[in-house]
Amino acid sequence: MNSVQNISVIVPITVRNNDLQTYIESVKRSLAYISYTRNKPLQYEIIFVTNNASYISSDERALLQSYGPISFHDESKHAGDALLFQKGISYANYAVQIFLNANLKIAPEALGDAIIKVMQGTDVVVTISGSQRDTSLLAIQKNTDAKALIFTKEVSDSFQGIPFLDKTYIIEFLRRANEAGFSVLKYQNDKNAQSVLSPFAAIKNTVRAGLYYLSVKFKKVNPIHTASTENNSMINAGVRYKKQKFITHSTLSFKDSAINSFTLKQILLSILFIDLVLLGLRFDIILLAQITFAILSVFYLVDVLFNFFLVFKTVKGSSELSFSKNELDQLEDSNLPIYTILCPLYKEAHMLGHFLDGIAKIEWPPEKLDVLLLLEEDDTESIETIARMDLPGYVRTLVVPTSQPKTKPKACNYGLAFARGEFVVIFDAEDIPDPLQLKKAYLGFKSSDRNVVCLQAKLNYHNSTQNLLTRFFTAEYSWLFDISLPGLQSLNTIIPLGGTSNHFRKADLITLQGWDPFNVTEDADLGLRIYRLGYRTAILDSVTLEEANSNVLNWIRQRSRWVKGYMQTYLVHTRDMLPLLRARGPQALMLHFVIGGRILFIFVNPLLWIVTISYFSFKAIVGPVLEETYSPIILYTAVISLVLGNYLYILGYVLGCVKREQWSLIKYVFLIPFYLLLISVAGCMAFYQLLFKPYYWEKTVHGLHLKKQEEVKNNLKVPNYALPKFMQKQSAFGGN
Amino acid sequence: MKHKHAHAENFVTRHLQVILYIASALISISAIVYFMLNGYQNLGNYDAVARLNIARKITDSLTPGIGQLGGIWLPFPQILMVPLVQSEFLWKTGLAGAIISGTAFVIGAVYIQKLTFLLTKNLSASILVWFMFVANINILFLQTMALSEVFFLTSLTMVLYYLTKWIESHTLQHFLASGFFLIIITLTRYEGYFVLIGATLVVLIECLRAYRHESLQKVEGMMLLFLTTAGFGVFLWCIYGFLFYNDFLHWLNLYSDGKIQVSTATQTVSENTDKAFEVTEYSLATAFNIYTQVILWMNGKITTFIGLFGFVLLLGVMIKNGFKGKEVQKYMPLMIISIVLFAFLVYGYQRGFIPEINLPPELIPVGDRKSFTIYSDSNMRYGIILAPCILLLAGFAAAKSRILYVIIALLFAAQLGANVYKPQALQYSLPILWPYSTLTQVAPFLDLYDEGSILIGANAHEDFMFQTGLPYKSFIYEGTRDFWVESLNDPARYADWVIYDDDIQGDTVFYFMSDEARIILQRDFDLVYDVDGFKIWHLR
Repeated sequence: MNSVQNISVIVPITVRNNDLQTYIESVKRSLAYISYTRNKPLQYEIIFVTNNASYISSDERALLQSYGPISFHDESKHAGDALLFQKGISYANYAVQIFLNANLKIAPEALGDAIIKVMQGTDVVVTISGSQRDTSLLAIQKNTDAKALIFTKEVSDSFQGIPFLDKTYIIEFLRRANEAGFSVLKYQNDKNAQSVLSPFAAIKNTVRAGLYYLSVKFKKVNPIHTASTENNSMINAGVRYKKQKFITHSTLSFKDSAINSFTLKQILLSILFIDLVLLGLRFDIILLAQITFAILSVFYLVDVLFNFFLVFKTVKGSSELSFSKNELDQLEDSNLPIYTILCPLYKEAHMLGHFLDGIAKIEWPPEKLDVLLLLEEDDTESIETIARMDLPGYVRTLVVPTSQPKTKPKACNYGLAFARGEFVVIFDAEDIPDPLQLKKAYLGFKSSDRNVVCLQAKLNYHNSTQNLLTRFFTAEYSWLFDISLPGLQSLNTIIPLGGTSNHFRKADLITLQGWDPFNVTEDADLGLRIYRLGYRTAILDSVTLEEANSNVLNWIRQRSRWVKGYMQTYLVHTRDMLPLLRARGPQALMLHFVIGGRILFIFVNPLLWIVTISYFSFKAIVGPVLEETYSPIILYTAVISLVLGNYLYILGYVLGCVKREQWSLIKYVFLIPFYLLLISVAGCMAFYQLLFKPYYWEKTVHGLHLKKQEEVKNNLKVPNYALPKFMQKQSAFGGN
Repeated sequence: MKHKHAHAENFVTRHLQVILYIASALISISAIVYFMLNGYQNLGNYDAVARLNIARKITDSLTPGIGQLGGIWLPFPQILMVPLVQSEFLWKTGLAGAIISGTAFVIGAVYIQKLTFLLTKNLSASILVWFMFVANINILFLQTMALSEVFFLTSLTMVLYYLTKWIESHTLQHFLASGFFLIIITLTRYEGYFVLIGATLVVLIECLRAYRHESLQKVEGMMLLFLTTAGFGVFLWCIYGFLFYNDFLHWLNLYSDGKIQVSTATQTVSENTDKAFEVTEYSLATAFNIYTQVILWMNGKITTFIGLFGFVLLLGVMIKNGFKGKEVQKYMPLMIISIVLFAFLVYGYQRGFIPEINLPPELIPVGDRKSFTIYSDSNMRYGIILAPCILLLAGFAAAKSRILYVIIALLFAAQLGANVYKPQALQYSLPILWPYSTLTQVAPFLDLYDEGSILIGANAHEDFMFQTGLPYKSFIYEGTRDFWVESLNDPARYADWVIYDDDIQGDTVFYFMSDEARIILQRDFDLVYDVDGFKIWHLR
């Protein structure tokens, strides 16, 4: 509820009005009414904006100004209603603002009641004629009677700089306010008032109103950023979009956010692509197949060469940041800065003991350690559990106020505002970091050039031998962090970050505007943003052990989130490739392989395997068709990709296990193709969620390795796949 | 001691390598020029010409493609020649093969010096071994040709080098490098498979020695990594066999069944190309005898005995040290691979996996004398396979003491001098067996030929096809799939010319032509040339 008692009244003058004195008295009566009703004094200002200075003479101005705090602003004679509206808002100082047409016939009490609605919590009120049954925007546009718009300063600030049009500014304002999640009330005033138009005029008016309405209805409405409530901080900053108010605790622009999955350009390209495919299916399916397989074959071949290069680079020599024991021992505690560890938790109180044990082993002076446990407001179980615990002095708990989106990156953004450290790192509750990791990171930052803003430690799993799935998962991570990412680093290209153990200087993280809370792989997104802005990530030779998912369903859910996040990340960072290419050169194109290629292969691999197996199993039937589809050069390309590609993949996994000294896992690597199939299953789920539940966070159940089978079953609930997000009142956000 | 070695190695690395590369290259080029100018002896070997033609046919054929590699010879040298044979000049002069073999020769020479130094830390001995390598007249001759032997020698040297490096350092790079060169060697010659077996044994022994106390899983893991890398060549060839012959183990069945398909047999898998020639099997003693004879011939008796001496010496040292200690362990790849390779070569020859070798009859026991094909003379070159091993063992001996070094150097010099003075004086020379000559049938054919497709068996007439200078698109041969199969039933279908020699056992046109085809031949073709069984038919 708005507790302000200050009102700005903005009055546009577009014609000569000889009765402004009466008008002002009427307004003052409304204000008096409000003051009386609320039993509080009011402060007000009346702002006249006109596009013709001669409409109000200087004598008249002097006279009117004697009635109270009244100001006059003369704009260009070309200024239309919309510009006067925007100019008027810009001159207004108070929390409640009224845009009041001088011709508006409304009883002071009615106006006062409308204003009180805003004071009581409604963000926007528009007065409409009492005879108007239809209160839709179209009807408002049709109705030619004057209207009053009453709104809060927060609303008007949100629309600063937006170019409204004269004929439609009112309904556009209302639509934008609605889309931005502000509450909008259509207040019917004088129930007996009617507009009288001739039939012809009425029809003409209806048609015109309809066209204007359509122009507003289909106008793109971008998210609106809301500023932080504190100086030099991103606390409570957020965005309003699709009728919701999101508190992100980040000032990241919506253009760099996954708040929108697809841009219009991307949608149009997708439609074009689908149309081309349909045309191909309709007119020449063989040609379509030839082109498709040709493109895929070339893409796979390039990926094979890329993978070969990654393996070669890694085997040739490691480019990770590595420090000897001697160097680490030479660090003096007194010279070390404060280091903040952010640990977002959601319904993971059972992991806390395990986490604190791991933190306790970290070699960093306790007085310089700042561990922030980030808890969600509705996670009362965790809050109560932690309240009962005897926490070390360097551990603080921070309860993140409930707001949407309720995600891990949002919590981290919140925690960032309270971080005391010069450096910041994220750890998950199940993590067991290398005790020397902070020291290594500290040295890493000192020894790297200033362009390196992030150090990514390697991740791996401590329960690798729990079952076949954890073996595959561990082998995959060994490949990723010991082969792939170091190889990418040596190419000075994009490094998608891992979920935890990313180290930053706090100041750099703020410059980067934190994490995107709408991206379910906010780490990968941040990694790309680092690259786009001209910075670098380096890989740190230090390992954090996590828990590998040991349950297939849980794994699929987790992996679907990762794949969805990668899709979001790819879509966000390919919105406009030209600036990226200009800034980073042709290397930026690797984005399409590192992220895009991985996504593509998830879906295409199973299809190509089906084609290959069908060819050999049902050669008599499908052989002739496939032989016609694959021209010789494409056939060679495809076969080379098939054989070499799979070989390099398996070799890469084996090498990853060797580098990690996970000897017992190596023999399982040869079964990896089956694991890749599982990833494809998760990919399908991810694609569905991208379309219908883009922000939904599939919560991974942790601690499975600690629990018995019965407890595992109880923890795993069947996910509630709610209606598409905008069809339900409550957000589709899951837990963290 | 360590400092001295480091300093010496530094010198070698910085200066000697360049000198040796240049010297080896000059020697290689000189040999190539010499043999080319003396009657194109680099084209004197039928197999060499066939390999050049295989490379050419991949792009120049009625049915171009990778299937032209065929099923008999491992493909790597041919694949390397493909870009070079696109030049008519490089193809026809055989330089395409010389460039590949010559490059391998140069690299092999330098690396055998590096390996000797790595093993012995004796610069003089390493240079002597280098010299013994580049002065081997047979290696010099072979490196002028499009054959696979020199490539094999170099690959073997690289495998030994990196395995030795790995045993010293236990770094992943060396381990994988040895695996990489095993891929190369197993795609070069089938003897490489024996090398793979030997190398696997080396890795297993070393892993057990070094890691079993840590964990047996580490041994398992390292072996899997090794086999994943080193076994890829074999895997690729199996995939090739599956794709083109529908048989993963095509290569194994080919040799074990004694079917010696034509060198250019490709996608056509039918009785029209599967001709089982008589498999020659020997007693083990005879196989041992034959193989040691060719080793002596190809490496020189003196060199071979020095190598044998080095082997005994090394074995003694190893036994004395109980096979322990880094100084002894680093010789393990050389010892084990030498033994395994030799053993399998003898065994393979005894079982008939390895093509026949023609020796002077007096060297073969009466009961084992069988008929030989015309190709078996040149197969004496198989004796060069163990050259790196022999030279390295000789180098070990030379490094043992100054006196030994001098004796060995003098003995080698004497051998070389004697051979220069009187070729084959010590039964150590190959080149004179393979003079290149223009076939007499080529000119008459070219006089007759105007245009059109020619049905001919490449197995027996590779050199004829080569010497005509016609593009291979003009020929219907064993590797042209349906063209070949159908032409053997109806020559008039695709062919304007039919050529065969009914005196040659391996002439696949004559052998596989159906009765109906012979009738059509008589009916629709004119016999325009018939000399000594060589017949040319022209479509009326």
